[in-house]
Amino acid sequence: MKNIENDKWLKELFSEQPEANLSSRFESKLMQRIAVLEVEEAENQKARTRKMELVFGILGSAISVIGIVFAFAFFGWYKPLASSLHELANQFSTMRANMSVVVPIAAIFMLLVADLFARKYLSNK
Amino acid sequence: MDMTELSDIEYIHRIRQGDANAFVHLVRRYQRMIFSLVVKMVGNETEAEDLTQEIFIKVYQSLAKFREDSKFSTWIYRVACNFCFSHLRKSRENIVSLNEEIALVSECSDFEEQLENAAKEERIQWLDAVLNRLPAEELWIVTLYYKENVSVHEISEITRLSESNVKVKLHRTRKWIKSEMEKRMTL
Repeated sequence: MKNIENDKWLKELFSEQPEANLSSRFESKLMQRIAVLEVEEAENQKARTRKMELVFGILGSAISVIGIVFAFAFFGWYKPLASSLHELANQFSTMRANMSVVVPIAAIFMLLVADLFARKYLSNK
Repeated sequence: MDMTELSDIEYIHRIRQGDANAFVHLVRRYQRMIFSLVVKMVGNETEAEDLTQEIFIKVYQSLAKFREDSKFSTWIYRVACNFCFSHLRKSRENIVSLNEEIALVSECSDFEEQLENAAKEERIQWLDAVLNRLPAEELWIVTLYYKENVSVHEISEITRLSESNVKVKLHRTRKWIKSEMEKRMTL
């Protein structure tokens, strides 16, 4: 292998080379650029967080819906619900049947009361 | 504690914890070294200053990738080296192939004496002209070794070449520089 010897002349040549100087604004300019980068990075981070929140929100909702559907299908939870819905429907139809009697009676009563108030008002005039 | 007394690693930890201002201390510590290397590589102070800015921005953005398994100086030189090489690939022309020209070198016994007799300004000018024709890798290695006094071991870590390869490249480059200087001295 070649060894590195007799290179004193080259070391001296390099040491003679004049030192280049950075401009006085180098450091402040660099730190300004880094501050801008920091702000941009913070904004990007916020945007990434918002995006992730949105993605996870949608994903979470989708998983919940899928989970509920799966639970209903797998554990047979739709049966009590179905019966509950059936009962509710029955109650509504009973209520509707009752209302078919109550509503006309209430309407006649309200007409009588209105007639009474109208007569009294006109007599005062 | 005075911030200027901290080690490179301590500054890096501070930067990673969100203290961007700690970076200015690393910049102050390494800006001259990086800049003088880049000036040698591009041969133009204005361009070198812009490149040095870009190198420090790159260093700042890549700090998370610094694994602390080597010295920070080695790592920052490596970042600068990669940056300069990719820049020079686009811009440098008139580069010699040392393999072709090295065979033409003849040994001149009174070379050093002749060199000493030449004017300092001439020597500076000759070296600049000679370095300007070196391939980027050889220029980087020879500048690190002779200007920045970086060891062969560290150069091998920076360039990812083996130590023996670095030594061979240094030997060939030195031989070539010598022959080029001789040519200029005899003109």
